[in-house]
Amino acid sequence: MFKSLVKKQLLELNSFYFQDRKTGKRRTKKGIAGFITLYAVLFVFLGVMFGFMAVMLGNSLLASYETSWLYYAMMGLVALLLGTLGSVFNTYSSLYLAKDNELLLSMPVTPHMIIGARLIGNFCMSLLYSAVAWVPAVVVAVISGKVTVAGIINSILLIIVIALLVTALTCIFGWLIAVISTRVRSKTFIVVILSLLFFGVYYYFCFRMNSILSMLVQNAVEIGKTIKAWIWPVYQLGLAGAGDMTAMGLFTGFTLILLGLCCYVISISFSKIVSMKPGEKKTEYRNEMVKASGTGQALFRRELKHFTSNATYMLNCGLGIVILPVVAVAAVVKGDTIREFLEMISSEYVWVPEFAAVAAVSAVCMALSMNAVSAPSVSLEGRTLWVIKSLPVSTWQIIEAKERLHIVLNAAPAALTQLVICLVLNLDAYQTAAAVLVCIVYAVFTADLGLVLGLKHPNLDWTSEVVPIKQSAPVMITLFGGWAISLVIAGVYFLLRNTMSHQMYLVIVLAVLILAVRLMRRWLRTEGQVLFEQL
Amino acid sequence: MLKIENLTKTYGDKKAVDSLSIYIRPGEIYGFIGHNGAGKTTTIKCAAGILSYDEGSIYVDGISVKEDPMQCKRMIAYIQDNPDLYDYMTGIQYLNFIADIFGVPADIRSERIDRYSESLGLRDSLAQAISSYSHGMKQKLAVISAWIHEPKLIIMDEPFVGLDPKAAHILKGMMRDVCDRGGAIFFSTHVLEVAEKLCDKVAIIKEGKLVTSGTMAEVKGDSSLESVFLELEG
Repeated sequence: MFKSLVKKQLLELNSFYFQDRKTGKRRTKKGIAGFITLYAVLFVFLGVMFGFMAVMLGNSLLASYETSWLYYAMMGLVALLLGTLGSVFNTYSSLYLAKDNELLLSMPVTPHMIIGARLIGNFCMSLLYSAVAWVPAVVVAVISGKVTVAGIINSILLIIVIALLVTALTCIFGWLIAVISTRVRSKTFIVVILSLLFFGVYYYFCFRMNSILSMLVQNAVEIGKTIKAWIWPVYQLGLAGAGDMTAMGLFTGFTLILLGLCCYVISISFSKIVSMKPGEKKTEYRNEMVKASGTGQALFRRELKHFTSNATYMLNCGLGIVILPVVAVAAVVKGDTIREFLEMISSEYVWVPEFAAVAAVSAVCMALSMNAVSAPSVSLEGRTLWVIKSLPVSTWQIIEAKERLHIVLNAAPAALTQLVICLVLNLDAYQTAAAVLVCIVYAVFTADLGLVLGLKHPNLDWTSEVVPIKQSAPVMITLFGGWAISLVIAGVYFLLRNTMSHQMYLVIVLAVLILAVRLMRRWLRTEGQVLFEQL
Repeated sequence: MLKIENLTKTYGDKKAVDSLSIYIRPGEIYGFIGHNGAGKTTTIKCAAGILSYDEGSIYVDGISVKEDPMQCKRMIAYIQDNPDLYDYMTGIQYLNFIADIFGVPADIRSERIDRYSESLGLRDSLAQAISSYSHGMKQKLAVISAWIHEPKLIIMDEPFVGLDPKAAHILKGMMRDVCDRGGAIFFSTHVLEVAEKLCDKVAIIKEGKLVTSGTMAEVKGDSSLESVFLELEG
């Protein structure tokens, strides 16, 4: 029976990589190759990044046997952190949100068998993530030549043991998320706040990677003492990596006991959590007179409600709305530094101040490109499309409401951010007006681009809203296409900087964008409407 | 109220509906029955202005669905067989959205929401998210939303599926009230006993073609609707 469950789990994994989720058909050989290449490039990129980190730590810590354990402990800690962050939500959803949970529980299958089979899939994911940080650490250590044979054997075995520990840790966090989810009422709000915090911390570490690494190297001894005193398993992990066989046994034993305990605890609460519906406050209905509104406003509110009720939609298609004010605040705070830097550099490169004005527009446009609010909106109608189609509203009114939401959410923050940057850069009124206008029109441009793509590549047949939001061509193309266009805006000016003023250039960009918007709106009003009606 | 003339709708090579004609007068409850895949839903969706059709014509109160779909939709309410509604709204938000689209004044909608939700037993749940509703509750909400603008013609696909016996009984009364006001009801069902008791007229469809239609007495004669249906369907 357990074998069948494992087989089903592996089939699920297999379908994720080798099947097209939209059509359910097996990917073509080219598709599979492309998919594998994409992942390989991503993991090689991450591997190189962690390799760089390992080199920096290894230079000072691998020199003596007394400190080499700290190198393995630190890299092990990074592998544990990456593995846990990378697969915690996957563990949560695969354990508690799987569609076949109730079906399996209705069969003569014990919860620990279900969990055991599911954890095999999670182990593969944990292995993938933790190895990205651990393998480069081992390679760097081997290249440095300061390793023993026992150390190499342990390091290779640790790839598996670390992944097992990551699986145990993700089980604990996954279980905590599940317990919280059954009690929390405003889940969307909490998910958005937590995700934004996560992104904030992530970007903070990315931007300060060098100084954090220097701090780690400089304070290695103190950090080592803390690890020794407070994080016993990580200390044993470090010793094991350095070649201590006893430590290897202790670390492996600790991991297996923890994993066993996790499986036991999850097994006993599994049925209860799976069958419990998310905590929902019973709101009392009071018949209060509402203000009637017109069709346009009602359709707009419908789109807004859809956007704000879905954390995935907001985070994946609206992150730029948060980033734009952050950029504006950063520009004000760092205003003096920016001006001093520009003054300093412009003494050598006279074109820099003008280029900075165009680059600022490009940066705001890039942040705007992260907001693909309109791109998945057609597909998100999904199975509820019949509602809007049966109502006395024209197709254009529906499309316009989607466009309007995108513009309302984007144009004002973009214009304000651009205005602040222009003030920081001391641009005159004419330059400021041109830059702000470009950003506003660019917001309209991305709205229409998303709608055109959404109508050309609709996917109404999904089981989770995650599919049209995260796994759709319209969102991807709007996002990456937008970034490419933003870079082109700055890049073309860089090439033409000696042939025209940046004011003239911005006017040309504005004209091109207006033309593109007009063409797309014409398409939306004609072919776009027909496509929507045929859905 | 509803005139369907020689309606033909093709999916690829398959004729889902083949030269179908149905006439529904004001005050009539018209039942539409047929086996799975007979073409009921396609006909209903064409009549509701959701699906385009290849041949024939459909008129709602004398107005062509093809030529003036907006005007027709203002007079119609449509309920789908599977009430997939906006999960991201609460029940009351959904009703207000529909009322806004149909331009129902605030005081009138408030009174209707209260009346229909009270009688269908959904009033206490109107402030809850639709995502927390059961199938039956969604069906009740769809019914209230269909009645909120007091349409002349209500088109429903399997409206009784998922409703509890009390709600089904109340819905039958609501359907009769619409007809008493001069409106009309066109609905599909597999529950032949309901059709037999409720409908003034009935049409039986098989493989896209109309097999028989007329008043209940004309169609069933001395036998039951079930035996007539089974005989005609073969």
